[in-house]
Amino acid sequence: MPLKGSLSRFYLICSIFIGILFVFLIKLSLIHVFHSQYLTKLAFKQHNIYFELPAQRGIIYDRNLKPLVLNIRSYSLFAVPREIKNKNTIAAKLSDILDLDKDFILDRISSKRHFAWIERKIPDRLVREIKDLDADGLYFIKEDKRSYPNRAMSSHILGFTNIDNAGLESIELSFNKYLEGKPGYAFFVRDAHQSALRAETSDKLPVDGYDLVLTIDQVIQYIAENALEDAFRKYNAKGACIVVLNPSTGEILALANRPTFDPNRPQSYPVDNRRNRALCDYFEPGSVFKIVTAAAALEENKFSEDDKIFCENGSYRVANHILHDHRPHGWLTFSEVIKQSSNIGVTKIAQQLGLEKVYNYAKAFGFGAITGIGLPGETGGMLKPLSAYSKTSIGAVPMGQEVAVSALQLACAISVIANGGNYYKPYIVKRIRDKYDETIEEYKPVEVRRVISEETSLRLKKILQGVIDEGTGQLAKSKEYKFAGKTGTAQKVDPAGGYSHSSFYASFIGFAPVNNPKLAIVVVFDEPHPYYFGGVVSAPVFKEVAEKSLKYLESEERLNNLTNLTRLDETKLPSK
Amino acid sequence: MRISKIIGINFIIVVFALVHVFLQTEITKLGYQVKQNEDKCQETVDNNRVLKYNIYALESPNTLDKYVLLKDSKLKVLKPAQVFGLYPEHNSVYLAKKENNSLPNSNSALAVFKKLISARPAEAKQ
Repeated sequence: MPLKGSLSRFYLICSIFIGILFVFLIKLSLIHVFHSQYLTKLAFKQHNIYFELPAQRGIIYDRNLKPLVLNIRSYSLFAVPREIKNKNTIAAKLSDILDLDKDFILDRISSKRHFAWIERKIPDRLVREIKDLDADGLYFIKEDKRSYPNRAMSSHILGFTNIDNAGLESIELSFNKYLEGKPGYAFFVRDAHQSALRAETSDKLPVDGYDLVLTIDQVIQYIAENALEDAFRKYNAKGACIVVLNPSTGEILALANRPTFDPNRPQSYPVDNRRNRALCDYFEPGSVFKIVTAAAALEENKFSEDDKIFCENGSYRVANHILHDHRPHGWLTFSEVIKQSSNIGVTKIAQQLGLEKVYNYAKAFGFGAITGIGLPGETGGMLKPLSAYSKTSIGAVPMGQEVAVSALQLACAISVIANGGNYYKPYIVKRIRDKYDETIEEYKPVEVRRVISEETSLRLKKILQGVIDEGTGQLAKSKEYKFAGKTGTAQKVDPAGGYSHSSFYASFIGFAPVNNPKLAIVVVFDEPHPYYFGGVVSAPVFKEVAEKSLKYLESEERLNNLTNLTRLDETKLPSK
Repeated sequence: MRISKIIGINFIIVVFALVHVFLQTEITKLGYQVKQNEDKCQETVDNNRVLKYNIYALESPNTLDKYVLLKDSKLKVLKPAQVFGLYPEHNSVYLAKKENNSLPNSNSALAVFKKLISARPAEAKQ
């Protein structure tokens, strides 16, 4: 009997164990069959760390491969709030070092999150100070920082990036897809201290962004910026811009605006300073537009240089509007009308041509449409449909009223005359290349259309040379070179109606040297005072930039020649 | 015989296990070393980038204009006849080609300035 009892107890215990084993078996099957993927992922997460490997943003070079922007290492500070003990003290100290609001920092380090940014991309000096605090829960991450070694120079061309290195303005924005690259990733084995261990890794390497080689010449850019800055201050202008083009190719050699900003810290400047006025602003050009009327008249064989035009002694009625010259003129030749910038003379030329012809030539010179330079915010100016112009327009459009243009459009237009009559599309990026100097994309000069014949261009060159030699642009006259150009002084439109008598645009367009133009330059000042004439304010800037740039280009050529070394006759060398 | 076989197999297994553990430990050690070296290398690369940036900032026309030319520097652009190329492997000396037009204003501020910022090779070539 007792044996029977023990046997049944034995069976009972065995059954319990078998039952438990069966339960384990079911649980094990459930884990392996139904939860395996989830649990594998969980284990992988616990044993490995995932890192995103950031791609290095492309570098931007000038035409001589001088870097205009670079990436340098910087540190960003973050906190793990639960690890910070004396939150108040730490917040106070960080506030002193970083010059941030203490409450802001306290709010960040008191949050329940596992990770909180305190400040991104901190200068090295401050990083050392924070490390000296030796505080728990504060960590640094290395990040690339976009840095512009020339500071404000070329800022409107380059633009800038946001804190995550994404382009926000200008080339940084419009070529962002080439510059940004593709980030990679890496899985590292994680040790007990949660730090990455380079034992078993699985990587996908980042692809760095492409580099850009611009058409800009750093030296010409500097010359242009310097001259513009001096005049901008001297004439208390509200704004100013300068564009320097190679008229034979459409390459932009320099482009600058005032006021300006430092792209290393764009947030410190008003938004207005960041506007690329040369591309984004349009204005009534005034007398510089007379080159279009003159070109049309010569190309259509309606006038020759010596044809006489009576300029009505300074007062002339067109429909219900009375035109005035800034100085009364009687009889002037066609050339003199342009040289003296007579509004009445130009209107009479346009009346012979008809508004439609002037309009068509204005379009052919590129006005009324964007140039397609590829930078953001470019304006096409304003050239209304022909039907929208009134009877008085014949006394306005030919001398640059009732139309609006950008400085870049003016630069392209004067290039047409400089290069023999062709319109070239302006461009600023010459080449896109990878880190191994392999060309990804190359931009070449694009001849869009022929606007005027070579002969007309030659005739216009002579007339425009006369503007500087004996006309309104004499302050642009150089002793060493022959320049050609046209002055412009345009009244600004008064918001109350009509034209203002106190606000002007002073401009000068020209090219240099006359015989073999290497530079086409446009200088525009917005509301300069006390002087406001294009010939007084803008012409000297043109002269300075053209002279210095030509000297620089010549010295560049000479230095190139210096590299052609000739072998000396060794027998004639002094003995050792 | 049977026991010795079992002991032999166990011994081999233990040896293999020990080797495996040793290798894993070495891998981990090397992993730490690699990481340390990688960090050092990265630090050097980072410092190099900062230094390069500083060089380019110093070479910037802004800086050169302000700090070199305005201080009445004695720097001059050489005349073609003063430029030599030295090629020791050929045991010969080259002289820059003398142009018909000698350099006018070669000592002018602009020429010196240009010379400073241009990316030309040095006059004396090795």
